[in-house]
Amino acid sequence: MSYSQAINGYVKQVKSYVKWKKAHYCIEKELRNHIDDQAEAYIEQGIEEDEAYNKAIKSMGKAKIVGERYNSTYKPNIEWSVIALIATMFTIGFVMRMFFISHSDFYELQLPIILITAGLGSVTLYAMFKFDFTLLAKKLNLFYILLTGFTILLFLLTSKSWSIELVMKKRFYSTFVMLLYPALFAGVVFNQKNKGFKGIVSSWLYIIIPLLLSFCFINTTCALILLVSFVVIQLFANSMDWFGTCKTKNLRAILAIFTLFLVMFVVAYFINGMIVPKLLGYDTSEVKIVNKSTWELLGQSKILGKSKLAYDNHFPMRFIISTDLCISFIITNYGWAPFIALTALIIMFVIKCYKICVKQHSMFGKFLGLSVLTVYVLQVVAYYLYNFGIRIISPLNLPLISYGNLAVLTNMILFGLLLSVFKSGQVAEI
Amino acid sequence: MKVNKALQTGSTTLLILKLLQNKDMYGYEMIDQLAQQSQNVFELKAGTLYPLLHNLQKKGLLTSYDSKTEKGRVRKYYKITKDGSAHLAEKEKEWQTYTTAVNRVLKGGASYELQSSY
Repeated sequence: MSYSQAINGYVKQVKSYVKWKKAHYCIEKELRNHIDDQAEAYIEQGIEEDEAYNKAIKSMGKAKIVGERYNSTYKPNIEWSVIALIATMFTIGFVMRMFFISHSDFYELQLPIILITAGLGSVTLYAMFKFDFTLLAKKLNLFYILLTGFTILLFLLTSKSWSIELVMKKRFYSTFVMLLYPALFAGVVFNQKNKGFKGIVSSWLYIIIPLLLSFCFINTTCALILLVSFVVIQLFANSMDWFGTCKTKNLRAILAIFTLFLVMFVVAYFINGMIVPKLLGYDTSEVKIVNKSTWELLGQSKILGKSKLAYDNHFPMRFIISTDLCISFIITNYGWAPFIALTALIIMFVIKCYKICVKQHSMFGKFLGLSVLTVYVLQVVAYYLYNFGIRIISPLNLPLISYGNLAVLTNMILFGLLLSVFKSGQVAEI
Repeated sequence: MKVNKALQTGSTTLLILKLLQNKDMYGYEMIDQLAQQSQNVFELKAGTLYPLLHNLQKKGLLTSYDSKTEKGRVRKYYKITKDGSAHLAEKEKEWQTYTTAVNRVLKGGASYELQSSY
């Protein structure tokens, strides 16, 4: 038997004792590298290659003992604290959604949808947790085509005719699905390892279609989230010297391309904000970037309890609050204390996840985790700004908390991916 | 002289962290250095070392990175973290206390009595 056969046999035997299949790649690499190092040392001592390798295999220890040790160490990492935080946010959102639809004409219609979303959300989270996240980078183009196809299909299905009014009404369905793009952007950036300037430029091509789609769906908030999340991953990758060549030159290139896209975004923002509403016959003279009545409303709010200027508690006002103004509603109707508690929960979630993300051995895991976190933070920031009267961009949703069934499902997919990274990011092959 | 495995088990983490305090190392290098520095008293097997390194990484005491060898092979290097250095300092103190206590007992409490008489 040749020494390469002996190595294969030994490695195979060790792996047979390790139940967690995802760790096999990592273990095999470790064992083979070690055997090579040990054999090289023996060869340097003057031992023949064949004998050196056979001796090296022997020095590894019995396959059964080694395999059992690996088996007791390499186990999927379940981040229970992160799961608990997601569950808490999900429960708060569920209670709030139930509250908002109660005593309304929509109750009977909405109740089954909310319950199905809760069930489906949990299943989605679990399915994504089990999903091999590395596939997003390995089969990037396939997922990119599938997501783009699904986004367009969803848009077409929800628009019964080609009128701009319907585009305005139904656009949000596709917008939420588009929040999944940054997960693929992580793969785009990952696949540009050591490709330098060329890699940086070609990776930006992937953002063109999603950006065009979000402008077509008349949602600049989504476009901004896509753009910022993309540049965040690129900057992080560059800080890790991912693209090779000169870091400073790469940084300049990233910032230059980002500025170019930002200028395009600003132009599209004004077209969407000024020209489209005029085409629809809306009066935009009343629209102000800073809404001072919101400040007045929040200024009158108590630390705990309902303020005199609390929001009306009837439908359809409740529905508008539950989608776009949930934070203002909490502050005016229950006080600043519950708002602070909710914000602390969100901050805790972000910090905790960030710390776990940067510890991952898998570089793609790091990129993916950070892209998911960026999307989450940007959704929260956009929502908070709007609720505090700064209405530069419209809010999408407050993840898991504000109303929006598709939004809940999309965020559950993202959080499931995050948990999948935490589960096997230490042993993933990429 | 071979040392009883039970004696070695508790100190392996301390020894690995100490090795990495001086420089980043790859798996085989650690085993080799440990054997050399201990005059072959500590002969760690790969099957013991890697699961241990994985656990230390999980705890945030170590990080790892890949580096290419002259022959083009990729080697995984381990690096001690700030938490790892703090843990090492704590474990070193613990070890000093422990060995001093064991030595005192082995010497029939002589040094203890000597100290306490002052």
